[in-house]
Formats: sequence, structure tokens, C-alpha cells
Amino acid sequence: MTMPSATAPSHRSRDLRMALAFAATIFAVTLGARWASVLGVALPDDFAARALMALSGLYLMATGNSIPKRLVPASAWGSSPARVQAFLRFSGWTWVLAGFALVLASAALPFGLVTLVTLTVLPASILLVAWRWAGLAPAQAPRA
Amino acid sequence: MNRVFKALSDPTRRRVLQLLREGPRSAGELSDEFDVSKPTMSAHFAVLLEADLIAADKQGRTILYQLKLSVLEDALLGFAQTLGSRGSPRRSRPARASSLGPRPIRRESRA
Repeated sequence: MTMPSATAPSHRSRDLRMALAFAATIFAVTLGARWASVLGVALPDDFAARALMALSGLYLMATGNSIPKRLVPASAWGSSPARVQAFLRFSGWTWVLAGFALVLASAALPFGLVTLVTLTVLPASILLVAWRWAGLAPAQAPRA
Repeated sequence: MNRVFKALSDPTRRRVLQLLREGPRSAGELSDEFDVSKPTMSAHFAVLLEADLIAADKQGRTILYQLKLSVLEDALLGFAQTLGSRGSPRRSRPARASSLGPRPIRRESRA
């Protein structure tokens, strides 16, 4: 089967644009927070850290949202296309929900709990996706 | 985004997307699930392709369709499916359509 590749040029350029946009936003937020403190604007002490966590969550959501949209060349996997598709959907939903949890936590929880949520949600998401990946692996025998 | 909403507004197209959640299927297999003509189904496929919700892969004389939904579009499909229960598509095989179990892909020449 010859499905379009997941690393098509359009995807790569879109990923690059999105990463640059998020990097610029993170830079602007940290710089803005610093300038605000220099100018005497009263911001919460943890404003920059919370904003960065929220941005990280948004980035995770944006990345996860596009995961199932990328078509993996199923022939290259040696697995059934349905299983690959299910894995991509699971990964996408996991990243989006993890990012959403980070955004919510950074907006609503005390800062100590935000760190706890981050340290819980992110590794748990990675482990979940890795577990599904491992379930996919036995079907990836090299094609004859 | 308008194209996505337009594509999801039709129960037949939503049903096509649901069927493709199980895995890629040929155009003929998908058409067999509905009591509509082949040209009508082709028009539905065209709308879904235009909205970038599915991808088509031509293999010889067979067109294989694969789901191409982002998480947001997937969620929208779920909402549309829940809220837009009226006007569900007529199915030629209700028993088969009600059970969404996996189905092997047949390489056939219907497009």
C-alpha cells in the first residue's frame, strides 16, 4: 500500500512554523514578564512559570491534534492499517487531553499542585503511548 | 473549517467516517453499506476529500479510502453524531451496519 508519507513537506513546514510560533510566544511571555517587573507592574510571582506551562500544554494539544491527521505509509509498518490508525488516534487523543490538563492545572491550581500535575500527567501520557506502541510492535515483522 | 462542518452535516458522510474508523476500506465496500447510487456516493467521497477528512489511495482499479481526522475533527464528528441523530442514512444491511466489527479489505474493482 502506498499511502502518503507522514513526513510530507507540507507537514514539515507546518510543524516548523508552529514550533517557531510557540518559541516566539514563549520568548515574548518571559521577556514581557521581566519587563513588567522592571516597570513595576504587579504580576503574580509565578506568572511566567504558569504562562510557560500553559503554553507547553497548548503546544502539546496542537501537536496531538495533528497526529491522527498524518498518514503513515501502512506498508512500511508491516502491521494492519487499522491498528496503525487506532494507534495514531490514541496517541493524538492522549496528547491533547494531557495538554488540556496542563492548561487547566496551570490556570486553576496552586503552583505546587501544577508541578505535581505536570510531573504526573506527562510521564503517564508518554507511558500510555509507549504501551500502545509496544502492543503494535509484534505485528511489525519485516515484510518478506 | 466550513468545509469540515459541511462534510459533517450529512448523516451519510458521518456514517462513512464511522466505518473508516475501523480501518481503510475500498470505495465499493463503503458503497455497499448504503442504499444510494454510486455517483451519489462518489459525490459524498468528494466532499469528504475536499474537507481533508479522508485520503484516497488508488491501487490499480480500486480506490482505498483512509480516515484523516484530527482530534478536533474527531470530537466534532462525535458531537455531530450525538446531536444530529435525525435523518440517519438508509442502510442496505442494517445488521452489519449496527455492528462495527473489523472487516477484511477486499481488493475489488468497484470504485
